[in-house]
Amino acid sequence: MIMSTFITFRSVLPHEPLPHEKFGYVHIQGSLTPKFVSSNNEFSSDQSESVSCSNISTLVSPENTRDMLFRALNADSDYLPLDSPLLKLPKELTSIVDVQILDANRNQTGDDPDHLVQITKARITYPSPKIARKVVAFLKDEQISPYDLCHLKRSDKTGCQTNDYVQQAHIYTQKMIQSTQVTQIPLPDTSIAWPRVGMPKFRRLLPTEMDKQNPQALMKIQQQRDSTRFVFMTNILIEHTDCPCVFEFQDALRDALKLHCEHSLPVEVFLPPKRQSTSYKYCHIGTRSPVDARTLIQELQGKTLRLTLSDNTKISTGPLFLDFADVTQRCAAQTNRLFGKPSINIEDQSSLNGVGEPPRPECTSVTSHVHVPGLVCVENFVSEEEEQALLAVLTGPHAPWAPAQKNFSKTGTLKRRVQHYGYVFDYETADVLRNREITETKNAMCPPLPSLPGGNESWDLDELEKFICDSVSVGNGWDVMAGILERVRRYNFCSHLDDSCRNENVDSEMPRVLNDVNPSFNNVNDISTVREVFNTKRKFSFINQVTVNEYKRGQGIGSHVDTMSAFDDGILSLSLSSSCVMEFLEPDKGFKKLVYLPQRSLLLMSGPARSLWEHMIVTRSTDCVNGSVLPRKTRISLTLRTAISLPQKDGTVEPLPLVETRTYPPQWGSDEKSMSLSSGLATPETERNHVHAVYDAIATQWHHTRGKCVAFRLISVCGFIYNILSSDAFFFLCTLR
Amino acid sequence: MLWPGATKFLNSLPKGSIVCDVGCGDGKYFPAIWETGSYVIGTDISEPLLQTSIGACKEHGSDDAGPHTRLISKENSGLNKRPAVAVADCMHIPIQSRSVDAALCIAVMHHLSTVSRRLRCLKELSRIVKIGGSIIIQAWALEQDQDSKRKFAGNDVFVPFNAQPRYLNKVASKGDGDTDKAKSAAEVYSDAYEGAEYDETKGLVVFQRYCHMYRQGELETLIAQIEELELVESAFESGNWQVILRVK
Repeated sequence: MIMSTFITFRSVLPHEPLPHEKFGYVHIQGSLTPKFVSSNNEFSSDQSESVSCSNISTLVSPENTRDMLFRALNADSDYLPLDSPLLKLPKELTSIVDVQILDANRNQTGDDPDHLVQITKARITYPSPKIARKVVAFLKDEQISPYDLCHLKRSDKTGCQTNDYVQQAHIYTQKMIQSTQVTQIPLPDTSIAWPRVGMPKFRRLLPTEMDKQNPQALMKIQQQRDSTRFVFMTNILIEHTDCPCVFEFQDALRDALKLHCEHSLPVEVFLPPKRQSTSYKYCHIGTRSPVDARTLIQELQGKTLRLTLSDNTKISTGPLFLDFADVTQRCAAQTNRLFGKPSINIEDQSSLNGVGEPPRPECTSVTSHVHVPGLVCVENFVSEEEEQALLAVLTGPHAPWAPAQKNFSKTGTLKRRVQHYGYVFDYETADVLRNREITETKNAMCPPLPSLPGGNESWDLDELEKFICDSVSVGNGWDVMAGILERVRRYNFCSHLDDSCRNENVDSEMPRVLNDVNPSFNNVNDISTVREVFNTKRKFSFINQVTVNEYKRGQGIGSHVDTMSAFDDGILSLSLSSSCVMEFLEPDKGFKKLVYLPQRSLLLMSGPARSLWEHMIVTRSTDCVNGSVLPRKTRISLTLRTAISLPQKDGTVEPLPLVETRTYPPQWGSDEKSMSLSSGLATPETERNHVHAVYDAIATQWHHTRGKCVAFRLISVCGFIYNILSSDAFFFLCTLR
Repeated sequence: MLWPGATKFLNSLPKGSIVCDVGCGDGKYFPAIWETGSYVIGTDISEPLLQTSIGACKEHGSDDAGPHTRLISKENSGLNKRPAVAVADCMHIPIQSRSVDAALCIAVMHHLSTVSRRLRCLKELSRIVKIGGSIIIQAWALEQDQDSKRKFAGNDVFVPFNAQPRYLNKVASKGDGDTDKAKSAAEVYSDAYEGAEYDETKGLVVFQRYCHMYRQGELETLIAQIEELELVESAFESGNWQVILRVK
């Protein structure tokens, strides 16, 4: 029996024929261990009968639970209370072969009562699958609960006579257990078996009026009729026939239909969910091949079938009508997706994409040989928890989305939402607004960047990581953002960039400065020197501007190079909430490179990658990465840049000063503006749009779906109080409106 | 569901108390208040929600009587032909000072987006309740239970509400009449409701509700700033902070 723990079981699906197995297995699931009640707790009288005293470790031991289940399911009248529903178990169902407690292994620490693990799962083995199926039906019909299974009369021997252990009251739940028949036989291929527990939706394969005009459509339907393995069958029970139990009826139908099919596996029978008053009218049959489906229809059309139920009663169907059917396209697509049939052809693929998109995105592997010097992608730069904390700030209620901005063409407005921290990037002039005062008059939102407590320089790397970790755990997203920014400023791209340069012949000819200190900005005056110096740059510690871009699914950005005069070398981009593929183009030689940016990765564009190569994101809903198609989600991208001053008299540029704050939500602009944003009593925009408007819109649903059964119990309690005091007269309040 | 802490609070009130339910919504607590023999005045900023509270109190068997779990016993039905409700902002509650015996403020404070508004709400509550009267406040907690399906990454968050299109009056009423097939479902909903997004895979319209998740002790710190209020009890209940106050 130890071996069997390695065998995988699956549940027998409702439409599926009984498995050809030697034994039948039933899984039961429910809280099989009692809940202990401390003695000072009060109990009303009707519950007290289920409270009894016993020795804890005996009750929760797997051996004992196994023993109890064995006795209960064998309907052992010596142990079962007289009113136990289990005494109704038919005799043929009480032949248990074995009982196994499935989560017994987790229960090793059973000595310490505080760490008792609940026993919740057991597998019971019966001599045949048929018996197992009947037991499942019985357990469901009688609504058997752990209380029925484990709350047994105890003989003196097993009772609580020893006082060596603490004795406590315990109670078994009366919530129904879940029982499922399971099997060791794996499910056959999805082309001949419906793989899911749920019923598929079916459609008849009949031409519509429109199709009748169109010979091509007619042909297509004929093809479908030829290749389907599903059959629709109606008039299966004459009205007023007493409706047999589902299992029995399904089995009887299967036995009768089996004679008409040549394949060894019995057919699947899909009965529609039954409403109480009506009996079954129709069903769908899943045969194992289109050939079987055809013979079934030919042989049974208009005939009646005699069905034999398990107790040998015979019922007959009405004159049957059969026709070809198929599962709906949606069901089929879902099944393919869930069970990994990679049969999506290009035609179907287009449905994944938006309108007008080419059917398949270009795969990253096409350009895998192309190397972009100075381009580095660091995967998992932030953890999932950090990502969540960042998103909470950047997409949350206080996120300072910029008002709609004109774009570079001066005709349209920017389609995607953006936020600017530190300095505003003006899309109209494609330049950074260096003067924060001007920013205000332009009515642009420009909050400062977040800063670390006590200044950014004073933190060493370990402290910084601990600070980020702590901020994540207390949910302080602004501090997390400050920490991540500083992590980027401190990050040494040395190893990545050395690799990058080794592969690049052009770069290796360039002079390289090998010392790894922060480069001075003073000798930067023209592009050529910029490139030389920046090819040696390993850290980007002057980052003073962050732009947050929200790319909705299907949005992209045109090919561009970030304005050279506005930003220093080293453009960094952190991808949150979705991955995407970015395209890099070298206009002179016409090189192209597709780069996959995984979610939570940090991309560095430096040197040639920043100044020579253009980058863009194609507007599409999917990307193709090494052969697999990945759907995009809404991507939040943080672009981290170093805004620089205009060239001074000697031609040098300097990074603009860092504008930072510790307060969140960040405030900016004149005092008046920040006052109205934070301390006024007028209803803020956020509440107007995201509280008032929402409740107005959802009022009906809110009222109808909130308020479940708890109130019922309350009323009975309140009603009791009310009855005591009910003699008083009542006054009526006028309504205020 | 009703919060057990809140119902316990209601049961502790002497019979015949006048209770003001600030932010009563659809009047979820009205039956519970009436059943304890008290009277209720409800205020809420959302008129559509208040309308449902009136509908729910109609006679038994009426079509729009709401969930039957909210119905109150026959003997008490005289009380609730029409509940006393008013559309009002919790910054300005339209009730005389010191005029009610107790106030309920359930799931309101977490929708206020600034500290000054939270303080103002507390001030208003302390103003309308008589001296010696009690107030119960309940608001969402940042600290959620381990097994809670909700987990909040920060103090101020959007909590999505998945609305089923059939309940959305604005769109349903336009409905089949003008069959504007050029518009996708997503466009129809985003046009009708600003800020709402249509989830195609689930067929739901997703609204974003602003919520401020209170940290442990945050409510208490606010309360300490209001002279008239005295903290009697504070507790944590299924992901919510709950405080009971007395007016000094």
